[in-house]
Amino acid sequence: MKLESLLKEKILIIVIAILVAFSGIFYFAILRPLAAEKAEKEADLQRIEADTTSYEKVLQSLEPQTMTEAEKQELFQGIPGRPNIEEVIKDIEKAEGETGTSVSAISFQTESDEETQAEVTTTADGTVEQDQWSTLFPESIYKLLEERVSEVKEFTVSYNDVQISLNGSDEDINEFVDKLVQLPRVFHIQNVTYSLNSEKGNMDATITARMFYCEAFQAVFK
Amino acid sequence: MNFSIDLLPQERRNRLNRLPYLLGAAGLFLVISALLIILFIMVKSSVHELDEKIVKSTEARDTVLAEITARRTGVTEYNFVDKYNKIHGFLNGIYKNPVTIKEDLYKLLPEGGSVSNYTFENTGVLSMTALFQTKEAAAIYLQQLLEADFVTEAKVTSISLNTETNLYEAYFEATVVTLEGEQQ
Repeated sequence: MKLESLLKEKILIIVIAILVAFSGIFYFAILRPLAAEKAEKEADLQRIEADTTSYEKVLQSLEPQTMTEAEKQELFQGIPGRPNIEEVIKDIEKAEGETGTSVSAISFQTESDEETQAEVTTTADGTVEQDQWSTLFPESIYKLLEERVSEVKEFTVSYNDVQISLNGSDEDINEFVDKLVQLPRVFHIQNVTYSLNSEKGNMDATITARMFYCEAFQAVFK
Repeated sequence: MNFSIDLLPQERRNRLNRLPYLLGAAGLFLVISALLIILFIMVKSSVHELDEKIVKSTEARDTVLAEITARRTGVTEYNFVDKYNKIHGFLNGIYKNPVTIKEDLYKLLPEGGSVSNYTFENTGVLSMTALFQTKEAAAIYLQQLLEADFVTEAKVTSISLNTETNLYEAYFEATVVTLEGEQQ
């Protein structure tokens, strides 16, 4: 009887010891890290939900910029979606009529003509790819504009050059150039040459202007 | 005098009394262990639920983000006005009006001076042939050019007398500032 009781006590003490050890190990090795993992995941979930809420607000703020076709046409006059050479010819003729100058020749040069030259140069050097924006400006000007260009580099802008030969008084030619600059279409006057025409007693002038278009905007019309 | 102490019953009683406490302790730790296991199952289940929620929330967030990116990338119906204004503002605000530059240069001519040839490039490089009644007038004009804020460089390369007109033809080369709001 006495031995049996002692044996029971010992078994109970061992069982208690095992339970204590199990509880301790289980708590510290498994339960506590799991609770920490849960807390971490809760924090992750909160962060993701907060991000989603803020992104949803941004998405709601991105409303379609609705415009009628006429409004779009008016907006895109400066940099249309295509070359619009026909409009340029009309603009030149209008400026000619308004200023009293006489336009004797108009010639156009497309960007692709100049791109061919650029490609050849690049291939011959066997070096870096061409920066599309660097072709829009003279090298010295591009260096000064490089920082500002980086803000609009996502666009691919194309151009056409127009060379206009005209005759008129100095003031009339000035007015003609001024009208080109003031037109809704963006014109960059590349160079201007005035020379005295002693026979007519007025000036001959040659103006080279660059006008731009961005095909990406054409998609908005479609 | 003899004393007799019988310790046996007390010892037995003590031993008999420890057993319930040990049983109680064992029971208590058993309950604690069981509670820990239940707690583990509950926490594990919560973690699993959280994992599922995180996956769903991440998908929802990525969908919204992808939609924002799609609306903002390239030219879309959501951004074409802003994008157009950005590029138009840039391209339209680069150069000064060349007529203004020319007029500013002509204003510097001394009395009686005129220009027979004028060549201007948007890089700022220009050349002109000016006509003066005296060589001194050409010198005065050169000085005026050198002192002008918008002229960064100026020189006269030749002065020659035109016997037909009896005027001095002076050939000037200069560099002017053509960019808006900047000094080249």
